[in-house]
Amino acid sequence: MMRGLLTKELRQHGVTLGFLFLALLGALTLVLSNTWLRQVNGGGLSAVRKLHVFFVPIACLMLGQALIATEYRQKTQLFLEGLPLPRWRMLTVKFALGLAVLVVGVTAVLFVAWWSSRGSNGMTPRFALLLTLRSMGWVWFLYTLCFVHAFLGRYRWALVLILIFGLFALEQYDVTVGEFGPFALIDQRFATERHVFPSHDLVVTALLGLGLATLGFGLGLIRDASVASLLAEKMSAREKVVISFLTGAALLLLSFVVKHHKAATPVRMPGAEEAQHGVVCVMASAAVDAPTPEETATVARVTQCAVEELGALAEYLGCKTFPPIFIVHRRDLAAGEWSDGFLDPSQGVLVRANLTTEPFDETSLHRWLVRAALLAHTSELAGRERNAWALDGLVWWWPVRLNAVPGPDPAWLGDAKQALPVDFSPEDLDRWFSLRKKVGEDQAGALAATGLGVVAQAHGAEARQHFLSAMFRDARPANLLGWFADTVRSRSARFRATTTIHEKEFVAEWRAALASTADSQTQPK
Amino acid sequence: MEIPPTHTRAQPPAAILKVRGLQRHFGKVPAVDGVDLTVHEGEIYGFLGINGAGKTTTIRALMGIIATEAGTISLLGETTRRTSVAQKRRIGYVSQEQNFYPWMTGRALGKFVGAFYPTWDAAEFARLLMVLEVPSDRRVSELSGGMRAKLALALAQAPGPALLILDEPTAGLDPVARREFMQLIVAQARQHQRTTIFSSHLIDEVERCADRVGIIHQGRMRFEGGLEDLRRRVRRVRLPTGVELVLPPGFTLWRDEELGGERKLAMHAEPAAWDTLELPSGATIEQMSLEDRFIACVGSKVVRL
Repeated sequence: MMRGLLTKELRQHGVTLGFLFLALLGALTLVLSNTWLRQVNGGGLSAVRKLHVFFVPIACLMLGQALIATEYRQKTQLFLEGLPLPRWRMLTVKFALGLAVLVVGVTAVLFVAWWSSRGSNGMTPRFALLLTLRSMGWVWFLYTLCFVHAFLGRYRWALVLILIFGLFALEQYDVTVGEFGPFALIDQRFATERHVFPSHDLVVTALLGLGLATLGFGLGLIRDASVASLLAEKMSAREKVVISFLTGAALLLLSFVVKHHKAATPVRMPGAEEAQHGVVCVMASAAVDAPTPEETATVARVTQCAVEELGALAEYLGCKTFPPIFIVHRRDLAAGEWSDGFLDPSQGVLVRANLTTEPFDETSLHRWLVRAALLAHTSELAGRERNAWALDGLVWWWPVRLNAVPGPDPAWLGDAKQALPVDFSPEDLDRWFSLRKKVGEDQAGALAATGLGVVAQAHGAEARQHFLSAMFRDARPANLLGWFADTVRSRSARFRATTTIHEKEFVAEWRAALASTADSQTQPK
Repeated sequence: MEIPPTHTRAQPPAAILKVRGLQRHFGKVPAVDGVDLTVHEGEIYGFLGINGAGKTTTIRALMGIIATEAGTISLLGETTRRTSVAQKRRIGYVSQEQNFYPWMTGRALGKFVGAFYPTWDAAEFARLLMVLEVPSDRRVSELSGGMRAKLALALAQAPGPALLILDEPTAGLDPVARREFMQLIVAQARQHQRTTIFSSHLIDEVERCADRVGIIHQGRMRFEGGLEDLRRRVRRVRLPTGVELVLPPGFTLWRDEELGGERKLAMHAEPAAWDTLELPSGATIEQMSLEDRFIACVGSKVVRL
């Protein structure tokens, strides 16, 4: 009876087993090449660890799918149930076959690793036993996990996604998954720890595997296997929608949890000049061994100017938080060259610049800082094409706001008219990147700034402020939730809510304002 | 090819299967609610019921595929709550759907199934495949529904089972294939004197093939006995307009129909009671087909049109 069942399984899953055999050969080659060619310490055993991390999970998944999931999906278990074959025996054969395949494969790899590393790794019987226990513990855990997974039928892949994201989320909560039970068995110590038995991890893994195996058998046996059969039914269209929604919601929630819990490493800048204005903090320092008095004074002045500019911006927009700004003076940089420090948005903005070179364009630095700070504040969402014209306008206008006049500022009129597309429409606002690429950043910035001027002129400075506040006030997390929050209220909706007119009307006003205003010969601001 | 029933014995043969008080619920719904069923050795038993009546649940319980909540199954001389593996080895089973491995050929399937039966006769299986005209070297996925049903029949018969259970074996077959398949079953059963139970919701199929029938409805057995017995016990009285009939003692009303002022009462009683029944003036006893009797048994109790 058992033999017949085994033969059937071997014939049915010959392709899967053949693939695993080829993969095993590849693994053996990896072990040998690591040992013989690289001759690095623990080379072959490190390769075995890689095998555990990458190959064993795939093999476990494939075996679970082939031996269990396929049987229930094709409903061939109903045929087996009609035979004089106890259901538990059918499951036991499948479980044992899959486990045996894995154990034989891993044993073969371990044997090759021991044999090839016998000279260089100080292979003692204790070490060999340790490696075997660690390997088999890992295989036991993963296989039993995949055994349960295979019984979950139509929900199994959604659950895998949630599990992976869940583990990732746990990592963010300082629960180091890598130090827990089965994961600890294949940690960095795998190829090097020769003496200490991870007794606790082994016991946890053994019990966890036992629990999972029991759960798997339970799903396959309870209520005459009706649970497994029902789970294996195909999803209805309605269920697909519900499951997709629930999975998406779960991932969104996890993503939210991760982002909000993740504590970014604060950037430290010892000895920096520091200034605070409301929620804005600017720190600046000279990255030189011995800053000259002139450099020290410049750094202090730039810090003060920057914090006032950005502090005023934060107040203007109504920001409750603002990313910290770091400015580093570097003598090696050319005038007007801003080098981004590429911090994580949650850490703030770091810019490197030569603050003492002449001519130093402070307006240009402030424009750079306004853009970078708002991008960091919104986790780059302010830079999406749908938001880009408003950002360009604000960046262009803000540093010169005190001198700007309501309506299309004559200083930008020339550039703005050059940038103005024929048949200028709200669609051009949606395709701002194309426009910017076509006309150049300065012209696009000037055009955008005139747009904000038109808003102020036609609907009041408060309307402009409300619109910009609606666009950039709220900090956005760098996850799906942030993206969703930015997407659900479009720019045009925000524009309408804050100015009470449609963008289409506004664009018409904008065109008219540009057409009716005479070019100015004033100096660019 | 019509094969007439051969069971007209004075002494009924020993019961090979006796089920008493079988119960099984799915959630709160009683799928089988106290089924009693007796099948005698060598007979062909037609298990009749509409869809959802509880036929498949009863058969799956008989096969030990599902557990029962109450009741006993006396099968081949052994009484249990659930059919054992040893008992299953003596039963041939054809399920409603043939969920064979699609990659297997008929021959490979025979080899696989044979490993589970100590009494498996490979030569008989080969012969059956030939007789039933099932290509043994063709994959199951390439076989038609009728061919698969025949293959299932060959697989069920090759171990020489004492009892053959077929759960709606002709479901999904066209009328010609259905007729041929049932003829094969009857011919095989008669040839080997094999006790056979088959379930169906097709009255003509049961009428043509079965020696005895069991009618199940809403999880309960409504009638069990020979077809002749059913004919003698269940009859219909036609009453002219305005004539009433008081139900005599020993009679059970199965169906009360009124069509265009004419009333028809289908009643169940012992044959002797029918012989002594005094009918009101103008009332007559009319002929009923098995289908009429089946509908009277499982259909609406009162019909007014």
